[in-house]
Amino acid sequence: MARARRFETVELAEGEAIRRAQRGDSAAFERIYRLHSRRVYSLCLRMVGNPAEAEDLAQEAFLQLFRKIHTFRGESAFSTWLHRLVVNVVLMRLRKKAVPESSLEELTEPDEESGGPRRDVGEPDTVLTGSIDRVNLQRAVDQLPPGYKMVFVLHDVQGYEHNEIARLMGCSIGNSKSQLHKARMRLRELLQETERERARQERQAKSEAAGNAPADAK
Amino acid sequence: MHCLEFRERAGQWMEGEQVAELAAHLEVCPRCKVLVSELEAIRATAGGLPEVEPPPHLWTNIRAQLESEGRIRQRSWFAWTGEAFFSLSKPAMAGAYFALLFAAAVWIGVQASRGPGAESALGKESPTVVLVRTDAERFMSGATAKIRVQDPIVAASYRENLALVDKYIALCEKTIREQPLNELARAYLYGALQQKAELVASLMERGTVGEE
Repeated sequence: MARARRFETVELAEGEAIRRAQRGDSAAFERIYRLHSRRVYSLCLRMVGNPAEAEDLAQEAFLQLFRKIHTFRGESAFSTWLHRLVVNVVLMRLRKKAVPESSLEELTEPDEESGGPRRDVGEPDTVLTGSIDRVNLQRAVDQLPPGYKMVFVLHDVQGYEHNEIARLMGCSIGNSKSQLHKARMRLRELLQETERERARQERQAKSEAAGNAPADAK
Repeated sequence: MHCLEFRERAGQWMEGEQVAELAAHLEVCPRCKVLVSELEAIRATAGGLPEVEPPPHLWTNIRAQLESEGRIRQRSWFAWTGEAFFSLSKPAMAGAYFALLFAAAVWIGVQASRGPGAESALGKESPTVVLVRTDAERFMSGATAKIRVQDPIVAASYRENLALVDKYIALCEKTIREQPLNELARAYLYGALQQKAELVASLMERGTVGEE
């Protein structure tokens, strides 16, 4: 029977990897990348909804990280430092894309005229039937204003606590909670809109089928 | 409490704050009960969205950029093997060396053929480069065949990726033979060969070598 001998691959602890990366060690850089790349890339992807752009953002974030790594002194957790940087990179990009020279309020509180879906006063809520489809949810997330989206993705998708989000985004805990609630409420509206559209198309298809029936019978 | 006020304060309920007036309203308002259950469904679905693996070339791009900026030093093969000398077996050490040599030889070949007035067909590479690449390729194929990875999922992933890269290399080479001036195919071939060298080096790091 063949005898197998394990190659000793030394998985560097994060602290040691950071120290070595500060000296320019290529393997240490890669170790740090491997430790965080999934989380960073996923955050970028959920925020922009486009793999090519997410890749571009993740690359920019890691490049900034590695360019600044010599300044990391360990006062805060490395992951907090990294994720604050990622959040900034993503928000900067979204702000540039969304509204040039816009204020933070404009990015979190969309214009009433062009904001979320509007319904007539008194119109009953559309009940979201069954479980929520992940694809529909991602589409709805894509339509959120950047500020809402970031808090929602960090809290509900990535599982951060409000105090961590407040540190990452440089806002208060109360602000994080309020943004999250507004994000969920808007998502609900967007999902209801999708549900209404689906129901409308179903009705239309049924009426078309009914309208065609006599012609088919001829 | 009116429904409108509940909607504004439903975030508190979702945060688990036990507010008596919110609880009292929920007891009597089926519409707000639905609202809460829908918000909970949104939270649950979002929590189930999986993390996504970044594409394999992302790290290659980042490293290339850092190297071009001089921020990371590429470990020399001497340093690489020196550090791992006591932990790696000789075939692995040689394999890692050949993987680097392989990438370097291909790089020289591609750069040479890109030079002004240089011939562009694969067959016009300098004989030395072709020889080194062939030897390195033969060595890598032999070394790869001897390596065993314990985790069957990881092993399957390596097999699948190596097959994919080999297929891609063959396709690029075919395109270059047919269209010797196709610079894009040449650039893709260079990337694919680098990826193969990286895969083999990674396989050697993670794997075990069978000893009769």
